[in-house]
Amino acid sequence: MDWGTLQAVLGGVNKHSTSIGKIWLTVLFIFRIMILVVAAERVWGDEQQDFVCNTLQPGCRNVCYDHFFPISHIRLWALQLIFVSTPALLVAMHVAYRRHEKKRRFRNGEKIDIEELKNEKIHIRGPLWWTYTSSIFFRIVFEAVFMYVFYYMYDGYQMPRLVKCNAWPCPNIVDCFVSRPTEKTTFTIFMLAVSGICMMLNLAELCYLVIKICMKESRKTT
Amino acid sequence: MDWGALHTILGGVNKHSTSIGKIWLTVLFIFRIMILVVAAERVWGDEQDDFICNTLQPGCKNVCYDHFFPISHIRLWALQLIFVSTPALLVAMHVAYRRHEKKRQFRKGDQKCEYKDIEEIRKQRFRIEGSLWWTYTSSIFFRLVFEAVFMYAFYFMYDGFRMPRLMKCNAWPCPNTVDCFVSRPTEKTVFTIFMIAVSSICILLNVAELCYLLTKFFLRRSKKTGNSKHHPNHENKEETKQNEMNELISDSCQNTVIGFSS
Repeated sequence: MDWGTLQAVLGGVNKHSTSIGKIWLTVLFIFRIMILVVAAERVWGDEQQDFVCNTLQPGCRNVCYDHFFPISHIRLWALQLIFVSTPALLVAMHVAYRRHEKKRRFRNGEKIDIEELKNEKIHIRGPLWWTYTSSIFFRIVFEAVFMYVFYYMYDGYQMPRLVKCNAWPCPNIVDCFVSRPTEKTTFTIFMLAVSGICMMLNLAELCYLVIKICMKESRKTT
Repeated sequence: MDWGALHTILGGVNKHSTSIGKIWLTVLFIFRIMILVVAAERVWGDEQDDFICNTLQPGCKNVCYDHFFPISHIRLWALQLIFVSTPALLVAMHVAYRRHEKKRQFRKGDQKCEYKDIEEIRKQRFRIEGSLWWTYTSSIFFRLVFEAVFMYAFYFMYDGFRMPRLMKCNAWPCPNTVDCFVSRPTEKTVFTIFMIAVSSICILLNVAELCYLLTKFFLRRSKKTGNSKHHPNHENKEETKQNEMNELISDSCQNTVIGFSS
């Protein structure tokens, strides 16, 4: 059970998305999950091993590392990607429920072709529109929350080279040096930028859906 | 044999679950197993290497680590997830047994058998009724018991759900009392609380499913006592027609839900 399985699960949702939704999914998989797995995890791989403090005091390094990195960037990104992908499952559940309802109508004797039922592309209308729109809204909220959490936890998006630590049992103030700070800053800014792009795609999709429904309503009234 | 294989096995059970059961399965795979594999295992990866004690005494670190972490969180979670997933296999076994019985009837050439060929028997989706209801309900009950037992085991073994930064150890051969420092305690606390929260959500889903099944059972019983006096023959014909419809429909609509396929 890993990122590949998530891709298989979300791939099914792709069929019922708008074009912007499909682009969003591609950006998510290629520029975020793939970058996380093939690059970012290696950069952060030695984060604790190579976090070096200028002291011989045992335990000081552990405590300082824990103080400055309560949750590692990699874990925060993994959680962010999982939370951001999950609202799409609401849409998948709604589509499955609609198909189940159509099956029930078929059972009750209405004439519906079964092949058509299996391959039907369900249009985003009615209650499905509400489910889809709320899933996009939740995606945007989760993205924003995680971006804020990053900013708050690490005082910005830059990884410092040196952190000064005075947590017990460190004697007085101890200089601690972070492993690969520049590379980490580069990847943090990259992931932030792609996160921003995903948020904009979600906003565009939301606007598209809202405009579509307003136009449909105005056509109905005229 | 890894989590992917468990996913394949349980995906087959998904077909015979209620909607709440399907949601439970999704939560299990995405918020528990996936989080365990992609995040939690890395956090606990260096737990013994970076468990540091303030002493030069050889063997003291090993003994202290063993004293404070009899079973690692990761292993406990893996055991919990396996035990919690396993009752669903009872349901899978029951369904397989029923299919076997129907195949036997078909092979004997029983005229009562309403199936046209073995493929239809294989693909039929069974409704949760009769003895299958009892199997399904007991599987949910066992899931609840296992979840509760493991949550209690966690609480008991680690005196709560928080990971301390510092542990004072005086097990032999450590001289007097030695300070030992845990690796990444805050990150570990965050993930422990996350896993406990998702575990509780799963318990709530299981309780909801149990209530739903009990309610359905009692409603069906009250409908039967109401209808049975009026239309006994008509009901049988309707059931046969319904079974045929079920086969045709389940043939075509097997893989609609959330990508979990049999």
